Amino acid sequence: MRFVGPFAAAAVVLFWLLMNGLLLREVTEYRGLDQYRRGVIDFLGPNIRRERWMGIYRKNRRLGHTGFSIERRFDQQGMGYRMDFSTRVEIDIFGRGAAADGGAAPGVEIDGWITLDAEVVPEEVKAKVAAGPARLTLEGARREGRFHVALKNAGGQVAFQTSLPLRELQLGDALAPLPPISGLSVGQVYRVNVFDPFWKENTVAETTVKAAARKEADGILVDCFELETRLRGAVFRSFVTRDGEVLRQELPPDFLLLRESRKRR
Amino acid sequence: MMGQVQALLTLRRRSLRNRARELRRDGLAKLAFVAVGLCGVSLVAYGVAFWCFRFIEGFPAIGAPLNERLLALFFLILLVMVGLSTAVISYTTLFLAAETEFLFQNPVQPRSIFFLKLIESVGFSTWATMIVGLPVLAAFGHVRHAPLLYYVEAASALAVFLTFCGFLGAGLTFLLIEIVRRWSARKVMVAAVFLVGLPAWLFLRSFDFAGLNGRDNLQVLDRFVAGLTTLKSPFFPGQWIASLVVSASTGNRSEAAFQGCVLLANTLIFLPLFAAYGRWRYSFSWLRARDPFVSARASAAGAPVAEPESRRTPHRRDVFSIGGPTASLFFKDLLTFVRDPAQISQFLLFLLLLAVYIASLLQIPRDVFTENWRRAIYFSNLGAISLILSSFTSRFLFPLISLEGKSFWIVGLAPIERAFLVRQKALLGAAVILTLGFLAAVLSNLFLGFGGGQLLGALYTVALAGICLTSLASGLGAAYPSVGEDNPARIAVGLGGTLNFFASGAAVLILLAIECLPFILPWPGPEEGVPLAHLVALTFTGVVSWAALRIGQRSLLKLES
Repeated sequence: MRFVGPFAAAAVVLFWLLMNGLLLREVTEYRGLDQYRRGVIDFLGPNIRRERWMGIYRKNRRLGHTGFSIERRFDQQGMGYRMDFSTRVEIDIFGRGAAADGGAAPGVEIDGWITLDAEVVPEEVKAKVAAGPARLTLEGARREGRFHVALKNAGGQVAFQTSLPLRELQLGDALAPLPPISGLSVGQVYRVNVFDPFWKENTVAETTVKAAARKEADGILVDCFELETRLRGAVFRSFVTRDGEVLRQELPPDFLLLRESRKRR
Repeated sequence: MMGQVQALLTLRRRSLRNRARELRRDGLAKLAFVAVGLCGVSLVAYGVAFWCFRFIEGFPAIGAPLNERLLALFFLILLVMVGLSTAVISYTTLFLAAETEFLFQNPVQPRSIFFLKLIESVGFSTWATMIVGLPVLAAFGHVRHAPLLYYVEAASALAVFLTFCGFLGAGLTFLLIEIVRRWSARKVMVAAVFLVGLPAWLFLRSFDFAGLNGRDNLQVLDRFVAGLTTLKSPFFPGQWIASLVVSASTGNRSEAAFQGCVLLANTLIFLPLFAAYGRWRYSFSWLRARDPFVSARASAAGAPVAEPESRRTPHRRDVFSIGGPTASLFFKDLLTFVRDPAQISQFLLFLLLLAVYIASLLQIPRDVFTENWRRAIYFSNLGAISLILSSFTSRFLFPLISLEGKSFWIVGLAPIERAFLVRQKALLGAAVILTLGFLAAVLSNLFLGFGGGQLLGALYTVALAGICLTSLASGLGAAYPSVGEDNPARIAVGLGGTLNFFASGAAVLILLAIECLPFILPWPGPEEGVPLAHLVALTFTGVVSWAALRIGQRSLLKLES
């Protein structure tokens, strides 16, 4: 009984040292990350899952949607993220064929998921891609220090394959890629590798936070940032809140992407 | 050591059991009223929080993160309020209370007394916050469709967080008692201005309502809370519990567990520190806190506070001669109040809060609201002022009769009726409350752009509220005295104090409802309805004040016999 007090005190002090040490390590690690990885962590915050959905418009007509949900992942491979993405556009992007769903309108469709490790580097990807009449499957996995991506046709034959350096990667959807980031401030520049199955190429998208702005959303004026993304020579403008909510994207020549609170077909 | 702790706990348990046995019919009715009142407060807190969280969440572009930031702001406010409250209560309970002195006369180790009194202080200053805080967290979980486990996690987290706030406040007192007791009053004032005034000014400056218009309110709120960088710091205790609550609501168990452990570790670390303080320092500090020589030496070192007898005596004589027994008792009460550092510090804290409230109104633009909204702001402001005044009366006026305590016989020897004592306390309270109330009403209404008839109406309502509140506090204070208790904070949060708090709140609400009715009812319209409402409000005030004072006077007479 005599030693209960000192032992309890020692246990409390050790517990305090452990927890504050872990907290300090977490903060130090976070501060040591680059802007992109910090942005992804800020985007999720303490939440386990977050979504971003945009309606695609052209000349006031809704053509489809694009977006993703990102969630924290805790499994045998450790901590990381899983991203489910979906894009559907009713437009004759390549000037050919029927709609992605086999209907009358031509279009493109992409549905799949990608798993990322704690460093936001891809581990595995799987997606179904439809462009007009063409049906493709995108598969990717880590092998020998690189990320191997293959596009297979309906018969399972490889139509295109490439290996990418093992670093952060975003999947493109033939539209404007905007990484899931928040905690923005004017002057920040984000460079993210984008692999686009439609263009079959790996390109760097450079996003710059140009200025503070205000845009209407949900019937109220919202503080946001104007972002400029340069990809394959084209310039896209986006308006994003400080918490990473994309309010509006303007794509050349005349596409408009507007924020939606949930996934709509 | 364990035997001593057990003995102290048995003492407390038996004291509670005896109190429960002594409960008669009126005591039980009082208990039931307080219980119903507490349930009502919880329900109102839940309803208001749920409505606010759901309304904000209805704006998906900014709603979810704004709610999370508001939650962090809520915890910042709790940290400051509970911390300061415990700082004051722990000083009176651990160093000044008569029971502590009694315990020191027994063969009990100072460390055991220290922990018993510390737990009591933290319990007293946190239980009410728990009753308001739990419904707020439940409302957040409801809006976020949180799993059932969330409610258990959030309740435990709030309990740990409030304990942390209490320990922090108590720790601050123990630190200050070592430093400040050697300082002069002037030095203390300068330090207080820096420590309290500067953060208050910075906090007020962070309000930016300049660009406000009807549609932008949420955006301004978002900009304000986003600008408070403290809320986002991973080392800020409020952020630990805010992250815990948000992650628990979304099912992010590992993050919730991590933040919970950080919070728990930083709460538990106070225990060995307090144990060391209780063992090696507490008895010495307790002795010094009761030693008038130390205070006198500190005063003498700082400033020549002792006035020459020739200047002081006539002044006292003047006071005695001007008003007879009323002035004498006024002077006695004021002197006792000023001499009690716990009372004066909490009074200054209340004044500061009132000043912060009034100053924040300066930032609200006058010309962007519709007539109906302006009326709502007008009555909300009157409600806020009246409720702040009700806190004043509950905390400072209600305990006055109880504080006469064992010295009641001294007042009893004076050539006055017992009933006079209740009237004197009410008069004293009214003088202070009406001065503060009028000042607050004039400034706040001018800042909000209400003048002329509206200002006069506000002064009239505040006057009635002030009379109601002082009568209730004096009357109920005399009807339910705790003569054995010498800690005013504990008297105020006891059963009688809580009853007075609810009765005061109900009286204020009824008074405001009467004044509001002409603008809500379709008949007879504001022009004819307002004078009628003033008359009804006056009658209501008269009846409530008369009844409260009569109950108090009768009880005091019975107490004497």
